[in-house]
Amino acid sequence: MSTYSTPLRSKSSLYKRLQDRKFRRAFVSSRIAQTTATQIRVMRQKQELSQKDLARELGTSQNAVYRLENPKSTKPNISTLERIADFFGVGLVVRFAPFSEIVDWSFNLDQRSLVVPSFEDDPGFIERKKPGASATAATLTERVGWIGDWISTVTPTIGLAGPSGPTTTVEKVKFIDNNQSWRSGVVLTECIRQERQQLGAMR
Amino acid sequence: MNLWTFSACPAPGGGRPISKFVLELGPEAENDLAAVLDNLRVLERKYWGRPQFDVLHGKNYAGMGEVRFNGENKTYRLFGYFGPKRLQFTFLLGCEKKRSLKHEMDEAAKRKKFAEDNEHLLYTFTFEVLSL
Repeated sequence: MSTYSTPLRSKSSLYKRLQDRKFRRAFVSSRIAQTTATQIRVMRQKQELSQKDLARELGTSQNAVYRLENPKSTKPNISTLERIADFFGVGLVVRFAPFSEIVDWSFNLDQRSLVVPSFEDDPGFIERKKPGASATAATLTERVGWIGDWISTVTPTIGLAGPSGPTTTVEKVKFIDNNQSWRSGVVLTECIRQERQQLGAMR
Repeated sequence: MNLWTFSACPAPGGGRPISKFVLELGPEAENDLAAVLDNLRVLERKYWGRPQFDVLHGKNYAGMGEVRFNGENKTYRLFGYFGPKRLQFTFLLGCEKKRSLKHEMDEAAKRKKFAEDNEHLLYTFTFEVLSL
């Protein structure tokens, strides 16, 4: 059988089902309930918080967080969602929209749609390296054993003391991997310096 | 971008019980299942969790899990297992939630064995399979 990823249904067949008003109502309701509940749960998990931890941060009870993460529970009100968005450092969009827009959104989902990056990690605000740097980035990622598009260095440089030898310095870096997920790690400063020298020579 | 592929296992005697089960769902349950699967398909395994998904416990159910969804005032379970390939989840049996689902879980475990022995019969799961 094919191992290619395929959509769960075609847009045309969904459009046909949406002709039915009852189906449309269920479509919107389930998207709101499932997406909101899942987003809250996975953003909490990303921050390695328990429901109890999140409840403490939001000034509410663990049971209230449990209900927020349960799509069967009563839908949270907008001010509750605003508080949650503020805590996670993410935005909140509440507005009426044409069905086609919601369908497009559901077809174009990726992990970042659910594990929403916080303001600090928002890739839309982090300047990408210039195109000329891509070859250098590939070399660097290959050298340190990462497969991905290394895009920016986040300082400061930090030191790691070896067991007996001199201190090795590394730099924290952020990059987008092949699953389009933000990841972070460290690279030997020396590797970065050499890559930057080569990049300068290329220019 | 899809991370996961969902597939379904035919019944050992023929037919497509998963497709039949899904096509018989009411609009609320169908939409709830679609929303759950749309979210799961893009999430790393570590983010598959309750209440939308849970693993089955017990040595007979190793590698198996259940997708949970609701609609029309009913609660449903869709049993499946991780595999046969990486980032693939194969549905085995769907049912309405009752007090005990031991019989359904055992039947799903049997189908898992069948699926593992007949990998070539698995088909890609969609909401559009009309030929049962």
